[in-house]
Amino acid sequence: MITNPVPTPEEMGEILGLSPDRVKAVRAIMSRPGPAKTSGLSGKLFAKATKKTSRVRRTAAKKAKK
Amino acid sequence: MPRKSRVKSVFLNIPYDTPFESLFVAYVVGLTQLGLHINAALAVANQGRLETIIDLIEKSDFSIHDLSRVELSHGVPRFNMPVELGLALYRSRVTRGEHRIFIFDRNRRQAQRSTSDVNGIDPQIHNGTVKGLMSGLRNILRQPRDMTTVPEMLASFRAVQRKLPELRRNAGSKSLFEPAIFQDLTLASLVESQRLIAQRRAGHAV
Repeated sequence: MITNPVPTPEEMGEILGLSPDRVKAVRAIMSRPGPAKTSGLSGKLFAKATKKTSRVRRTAAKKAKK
Repeated sequence: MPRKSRVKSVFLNIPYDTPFESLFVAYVVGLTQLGLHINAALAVANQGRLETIIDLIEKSDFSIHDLSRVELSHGVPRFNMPVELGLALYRSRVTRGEHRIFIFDRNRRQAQRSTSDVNGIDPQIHNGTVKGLMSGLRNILRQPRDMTTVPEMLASFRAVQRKLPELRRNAGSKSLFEPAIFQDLTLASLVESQRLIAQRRAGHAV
């Protein structure tokens, strides 16, 4: 099935009977930068930190078994 | 500038419940990004449900029926999706096939067993995944010059999903299955779509 070219948000807003302000509000949300990272570490550092933690946990678990 | 052609519309028949939220967003993003206007019962508040569904099917160019969740709910089979499929099949018959029907399901075996009467319609199998769903939509829908790719659709899906809490707050919706957030999801998908189109043009210009 062949569809039409993609409508703009404003065209769709009209089809849906929405006000231009509503379209603007959604545009604003989508253009805002995403939430900041919570860990504060870079991806590489975070991976290293979590790997170390898990290794410590495994060692601790092995010792506990003995 | 006024639009030259009418936007084609699709009747979307899917389960409206929390475990299906991710695929619901994927349907909205995927179909919108492929240039369609979605007609769904949830977008029309406080109306006679059956009348609304019949009206929506009648004004849609085709329909998509996701039968992946036709199962027991609190001991009762969920008949809504098959009932709506039946209405669309009748619509297809009276329009001599002009109203086309597409079925989506989780796996092929389930599709063949649950709706053996419509085995003539080849179902699109999404395996319950967003990627599977986007691939299914690309299998059945083509755009002029056929541009949108599955990775692009997935990128848009992720972008819209990241903004869901904010979109939901903005629409004042407790659930995703309410008219206001449904409309905003459509607009958000189109904003992402425009961004992609602009990126493509910039890529071609280099």
